[in-house]
Amino acid sequence: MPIDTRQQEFDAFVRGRSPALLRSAYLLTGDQQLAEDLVQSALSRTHLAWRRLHQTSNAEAYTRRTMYHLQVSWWRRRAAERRVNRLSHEPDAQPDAADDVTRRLVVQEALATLTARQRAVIVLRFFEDRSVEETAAVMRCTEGTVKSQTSKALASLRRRYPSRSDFSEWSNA
Amino acid sequence: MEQRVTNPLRDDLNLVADGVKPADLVHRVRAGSRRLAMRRAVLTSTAAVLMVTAVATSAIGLTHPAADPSISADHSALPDDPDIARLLSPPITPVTQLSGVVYYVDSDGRLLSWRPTTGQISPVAGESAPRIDTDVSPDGRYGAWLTEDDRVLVRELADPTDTGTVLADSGAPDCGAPLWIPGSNAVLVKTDAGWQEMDVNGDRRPIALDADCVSATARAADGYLVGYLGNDERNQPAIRIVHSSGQVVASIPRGVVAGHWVTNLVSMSPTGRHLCVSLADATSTYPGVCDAVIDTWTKSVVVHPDDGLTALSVFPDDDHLITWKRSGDQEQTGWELVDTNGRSVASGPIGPDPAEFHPVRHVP
Repeated sequence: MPIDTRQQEFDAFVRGRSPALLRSAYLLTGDQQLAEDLVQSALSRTHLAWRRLHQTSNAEAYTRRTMYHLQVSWWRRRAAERRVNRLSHEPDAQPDAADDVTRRLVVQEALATLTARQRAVIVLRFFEDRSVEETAAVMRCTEGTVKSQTSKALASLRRRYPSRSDFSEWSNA
Repeated sequence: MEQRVTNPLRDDLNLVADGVKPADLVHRVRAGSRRLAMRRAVLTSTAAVLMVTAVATSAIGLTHPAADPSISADHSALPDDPDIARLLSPPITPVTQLSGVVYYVDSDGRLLSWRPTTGQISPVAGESAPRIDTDVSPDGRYGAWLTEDDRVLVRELADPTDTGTVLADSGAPDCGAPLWIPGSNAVLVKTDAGWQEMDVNGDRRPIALDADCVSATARAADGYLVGYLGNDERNQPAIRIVHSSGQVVASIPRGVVAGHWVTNLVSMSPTGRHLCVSLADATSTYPGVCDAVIDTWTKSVVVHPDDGLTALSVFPDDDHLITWKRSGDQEQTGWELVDTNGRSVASGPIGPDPAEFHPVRHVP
């Protein structure tokens, strides 16, 4: 395949999938700029592997895996960045159910109290609706770790957001 | 039995995700990909590369420092001499070459030591688990880290059989690694009972510190300095440099300083005179890097070149940084010793991949 054609296909992939990737990245980072940086970093790596990924139709899965790995791994875990987020919005009132803006701020604030790994687990399981097994595969950890991190994260969210005591898991056999 | 989730949280997460704005990332991704490819090409080369020294300031696109009135600095808690480095005991030896040992964590969370003089990189013996939230003591003897279950452990790095001693059962997970106090064998730990100094023998002492988390520590006469993000006297977010006596030494608004939006404190020079900060408008690929240096004595700001690679820095002394640098248009990359104005002082052999490098400590 000519290089120009391959580049055009990659550009189309970026344009087509960026909106969805940005949504997940925004939940992971809590910040527009950081979300764009995260998606950009993941897609840059996808670009380098595009020839192989394009042939296996695995580009989006690879990009998402890279995104979660980057987010959870080292400098993106730096506590300082989480502190920046926490300083941004300190809600002083409980959310009004009718007020989506307030509710959004409160949820963002609650998410900001989680560790990067807990946050990634929450996004994978609750936003992307992945199973424990799938989440463990993406995060390259054990299923036990996914379960324990999920439990801790939910407990933290409930503490931070008491009006949402219905944050929990349920079993479907 | 498979676990699936209830709708309320999913609905809330979708609501938050609706807040993200669309962005055209095509050109940024292409540029990022080119940088990544270039780094890989350079760093997989087996040739020893000695980089060009004495790069002209104009070639690396520095902005010129100027005093900024928004930087509040009160050094009355410190000796009445900007050059406090020479007043400290033991003194801080000025460096003119790449030297010492740099401890850093790679992207897999491994703690490694790097000798910039020779380029030699070695895993720290006995480090079996990822050490993402780690700090190394100023003398390089101890490592302290936060475990996944939020315990604070310390171990002697030279003893591979030392699996670590628990200093605290509940560190603050949001605050990352416990930070070593300069000139002592103690770390700062935030516990349920507040901030405490904990030494390697298990002794602890409560300290009065109004900080959610601490970003960096530095040496000072009659104590030490602590740098953190907090609130200033007007209750506005600010980077605060506070002496352990409680005296506020410097306060930099988390906002526009010298025309740039300062977002975070990354590190401090050994005496706290120079601060590495992050800028919101930098093009660094990664957050938490040193986009600019603030001189708290002259209240001036120097912004590092905007190539996204230069900011991975450590201070070997009070006036220099070891940093990854690309030299202007020459597409030459490498580790260099630069002064706080960004001027090259010395260069060294090939070292760690900057994409896999998070600096922890320079040990002379």
